Amino acid sequence: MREILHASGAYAIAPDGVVHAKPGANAPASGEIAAQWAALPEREIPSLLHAVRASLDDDHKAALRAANIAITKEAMRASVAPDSHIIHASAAIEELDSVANRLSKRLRDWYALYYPELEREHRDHKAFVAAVLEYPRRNPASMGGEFSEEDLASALSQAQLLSTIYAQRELMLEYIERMMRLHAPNVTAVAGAMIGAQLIAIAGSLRRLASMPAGTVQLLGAETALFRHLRNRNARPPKHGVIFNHRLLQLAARERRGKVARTLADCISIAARVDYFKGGLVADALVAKVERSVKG
Amino acid sequence: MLKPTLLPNTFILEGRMARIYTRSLTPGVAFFEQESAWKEGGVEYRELSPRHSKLAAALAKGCQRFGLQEGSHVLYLGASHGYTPSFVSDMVGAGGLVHCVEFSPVVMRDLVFVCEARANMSPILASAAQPREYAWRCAQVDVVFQDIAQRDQLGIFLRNVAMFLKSGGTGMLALKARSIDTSRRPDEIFRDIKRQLGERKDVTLIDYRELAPFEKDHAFFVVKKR
Repeated sequence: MREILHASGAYAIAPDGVVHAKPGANAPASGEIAAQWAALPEREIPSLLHAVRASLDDDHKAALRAANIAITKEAMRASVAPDSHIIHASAAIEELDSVANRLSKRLRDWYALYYPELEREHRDHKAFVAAVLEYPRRNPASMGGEFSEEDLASALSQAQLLSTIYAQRELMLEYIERMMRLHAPNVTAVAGAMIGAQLIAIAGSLRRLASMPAGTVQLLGAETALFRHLRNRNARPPKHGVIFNHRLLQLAARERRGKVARTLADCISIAARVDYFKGGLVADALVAKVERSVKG
Repeated sequence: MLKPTLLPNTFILEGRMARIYTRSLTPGVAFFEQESAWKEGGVEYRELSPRHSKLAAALAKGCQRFGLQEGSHVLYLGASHGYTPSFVSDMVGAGGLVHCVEFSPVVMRDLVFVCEARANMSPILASAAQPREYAWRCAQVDVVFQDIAQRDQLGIFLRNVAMFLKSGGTGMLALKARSIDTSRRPDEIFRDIKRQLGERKDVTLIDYRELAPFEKDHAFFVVKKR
């Protein structure tokens, strides 16, 4: 008589294969059951599963489901990692940027009715919003139209909101930088906090980033261009995904970009592996390698 | 007037656009935004949209073999938020059981809530590619249903069929061609999968449907285990 544990309870198996559900047997710790099943030869599993099914009456069914709900909830709790925060904060920055961009354009068009000269003076949205809040009253020589107090107050409240959004973006960026330096110091040093965070977000986790080939890391964020190329060989392959915005890649001469992108992706990949599997700092040598590649 | 279909507890409401409904196991409770209810003779039915479910799409496309019955135990791989699984749970009824395997904790969140509200659904957070990892919290089943976007969809399906499906049981595979190869033509991939299934000794292909226009580049394979 052999005893087999299962999430629905304990089963006693006779040499001839007959299974007896042990009455009142509580499901033991899931780690213990998993270990027992991991040691079973693969060919025995289907017949065991058959035996379990045969004794899966209403009580055992309910026990199995309750155990699975409990195990799943525990796994869900454990699945929240620092990566999750990095991923959400980096997505939040992207959304703040896109909202700020749209609201800024609206504010420009609106405020330009009142004070077109100020709008023209500031090309940068953030600087424009700051200028609006600083000088809400225009120069009397302006070609802008008349705004009532209420008109102006409404436009200015939009500017207030924008300035809050820009402040929020700063907060998120600082948070990402702290989190990245703490959890992925080498990736942060090589790729930069923001690009590193975006890479982790696209890969899904630091673990998955670390287990990707460097060639994949090079193209993360360029999926559209990559698949366009794979479907139609006349479309040229992309050289870089989100790493395109990297300081050193921007520094490189146009014809060297592909080579630098490759080296940079190699180094980020190594950095991610060290961060995930080993720890310690190897970033200096990696950054030096990318810098050498920029010079050619 | 609701008319029965080949699926248990599943009906068609004929009209200009036919609609598919399942008899609700949880009257008064809706789980998804796109869900609408229908009442007839004091019984509540939930609408199952072929645009959101490959199983419903296969039914709408005329699939003849599903193997699902009242009381069936089902292994559902790629349960996602639980939309289709909740309808499979209606189909098999209180006496059935749906083991819902899903890999992503983000979508599992929704699935857990659905499972808690339905006594015949059991959640498993695991990768369908590693059937041994969850064998100890699953059992032999009458039906395996798979809908996952993985390159090795066929291999994963066959491994699960080998481990969990009873002899004579039915396996349904909703295949996404784009996950297998983005550069090959979907119909070429479907033909290739058909050929591979045809060469197997352990399963027989008993039905096949392409799911357009409900799902682009998807096909539905139904096999019977020998």
